[in-house]
Amino acid sequence: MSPLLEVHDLHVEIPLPHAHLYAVRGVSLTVDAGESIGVVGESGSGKSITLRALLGLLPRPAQVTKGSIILDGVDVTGLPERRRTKMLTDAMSMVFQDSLTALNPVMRVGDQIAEVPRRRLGMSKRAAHARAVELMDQVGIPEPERRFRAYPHQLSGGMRQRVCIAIALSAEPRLILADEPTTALDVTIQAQVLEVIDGLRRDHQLGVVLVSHDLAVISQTCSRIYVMYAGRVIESGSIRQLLSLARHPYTFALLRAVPDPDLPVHRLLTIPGQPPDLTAVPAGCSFAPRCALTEPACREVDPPLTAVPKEPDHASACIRLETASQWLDWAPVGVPDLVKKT
Amino acid sequence: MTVTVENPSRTRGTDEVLGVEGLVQHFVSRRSWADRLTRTPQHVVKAVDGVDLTLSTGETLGLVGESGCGKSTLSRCIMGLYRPSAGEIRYAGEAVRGLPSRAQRRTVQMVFQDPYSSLNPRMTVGQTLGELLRYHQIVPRDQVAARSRELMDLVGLPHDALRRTPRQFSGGQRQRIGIARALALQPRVLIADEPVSALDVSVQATIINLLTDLREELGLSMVFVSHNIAVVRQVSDRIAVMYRGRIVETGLTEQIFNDPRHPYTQLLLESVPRMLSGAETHPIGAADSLGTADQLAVVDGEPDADESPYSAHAIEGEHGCRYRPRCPVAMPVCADEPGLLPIAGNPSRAAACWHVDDDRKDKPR
Repeated sequence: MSPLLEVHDLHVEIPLPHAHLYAVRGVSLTVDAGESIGVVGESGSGKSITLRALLGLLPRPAQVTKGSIILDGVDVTGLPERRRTKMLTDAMSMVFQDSLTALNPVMRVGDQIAEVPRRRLGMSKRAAHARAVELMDQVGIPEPERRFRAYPHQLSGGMRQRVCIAIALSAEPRLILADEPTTALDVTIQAQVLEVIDGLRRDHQLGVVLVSHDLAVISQTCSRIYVMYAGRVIESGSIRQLLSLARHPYTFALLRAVPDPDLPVHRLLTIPGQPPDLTAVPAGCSFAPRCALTEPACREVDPPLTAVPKEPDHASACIRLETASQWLDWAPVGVPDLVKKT
Repeated sequence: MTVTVENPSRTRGTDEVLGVEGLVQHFVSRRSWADRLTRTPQHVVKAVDGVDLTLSTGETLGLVGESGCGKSTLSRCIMGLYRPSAGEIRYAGEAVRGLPSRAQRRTVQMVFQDPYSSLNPRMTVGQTLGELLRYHQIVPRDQVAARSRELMDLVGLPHDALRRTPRQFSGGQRQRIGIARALALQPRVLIADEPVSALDVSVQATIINLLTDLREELGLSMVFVSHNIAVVRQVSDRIAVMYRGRIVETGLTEQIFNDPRHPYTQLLLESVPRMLSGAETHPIGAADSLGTADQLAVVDGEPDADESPYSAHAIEGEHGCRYRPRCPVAMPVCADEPGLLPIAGNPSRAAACWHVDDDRKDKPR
């Protein structure tokens, strides 16, 4: 069976007045029905642009220059734009980070949810109302009948994000793209919203693509991770594989840069420097200037994503991926040894 | 700047460098004529509602709580950015009357969350620092430039940064400038209000390490405000948990993490997402084993914005423990609000809960 969504070698470029910004440089990913995948990376690594490119929501000058999107085994890339957009938006919906700006402030939240069933599924007003109430109930909004009449500003942040999820569900998609859905929420509320998304995945066999900069959030909700850096996927694999032994120095360092709430004071590994300027990407590995393990060969070729020997579905874009078990020497004293922990 | 983690200097001094007693900061909404005619009651938001704190020399206090609980208002009160409604603030034992004097302002300095909006975009870093150094007469005028360069060294920026404007720096570098700006006055207390929340994880680690090093190097005391509990654990000696304008639990960092007593602290610690391998993945937070969404709603204690315009703030006319509406172990006695009750056998700890000394069977983790 072909996966629900397959993306092959996606390239997005943004023409700027004096330069050309290569925002996404060859991203491939697959999502199955009922599976949730995570995309992590720093700001500017191209994770949000990738999601937007899938839905045809790219900001003005940005355009997809290469790559294919395969939905249910059908390559939609070559189709006429209108037909393609319809197929993609029928299958996927998006949940945004900031629920207050995503919602219409002068429209009751219930009507915003009912709008989609009415316009796109052609439901009657009454049926759409009933559907909206049902959706609100599904995403865990207590007293949906009463909340139907509320305006966005009358709801708390967690409730508003649930409304956004309900809107995303209203078109009966098979895939939810969530772009930092909990970043603006408190931890206690974040846990609830993540649980709502995970429940929907289980109950409705939805595919979920969760974009976040928070590795812990991803590790709790997703089965596979794609780590992005400078517009490329530099490592992908299951959570277990990445946590037990990351095969790319960037992932390796990132995992040790996040403080662990269960460990007393420990030194955090830092990644010196900054991500490269995407208007002029240097030759060679894009992480090489910041990498503690750089060797001359790293500056010559940009290594492709290569399968890790003996580990199915685990791939890394590092020429030294086989030596990963020795990388710990690089970490300063006090950095916890994740290998032993997991 | 290589300081090992197990530095003995982390042991706390006993002298108070910052004291807060019964601090209250209420915000009163403006009443229009129509409100007065219709006798609409005045709306009072009790952002900070009776807080006691002391900070000793060299100590770092972590202040945690959800958004709107009053953490930022409290830190701004301490900084003297608001005139408190009631209560006393002491800098190094000396009471602050109204707003702090110029000399007092040097004692306590603040690092803000957004390093971009807290720096003047039209001034170079050198001008920003120079203005401060001259106004507060930190060094003689002819040494301002030299001192500015020293500050750049301290926060790990190149000297030519002084000639550039804030927009020419990345987020992490801007936060370094924000720290240099605060340190220019040689404060004894640094108040860091969410200093790393706006930064990427890889950069976050460098700023946390920098703050840790500076604290050791300069013997600074710090109030570290954050909603990120893992970060707070990294930097704090002691933690105060705030809920709706009051401190509901305080204690040494390890004690709070190993044995949280207040139900809110417990919820907070359980909700922190943790790195897990795929097979061990389980629902997060209080929602354990509750599969469906409508069951989840039961544990949702977040009040609607329309029920209280400032959802997490204390509202006028409320009685009893402020956590009671969300609390899983509320009982009749909770209709009286407990103050911070000491925890038996542990002088450094207190929690505002009648269940303080109960044996808990459901310890988190």
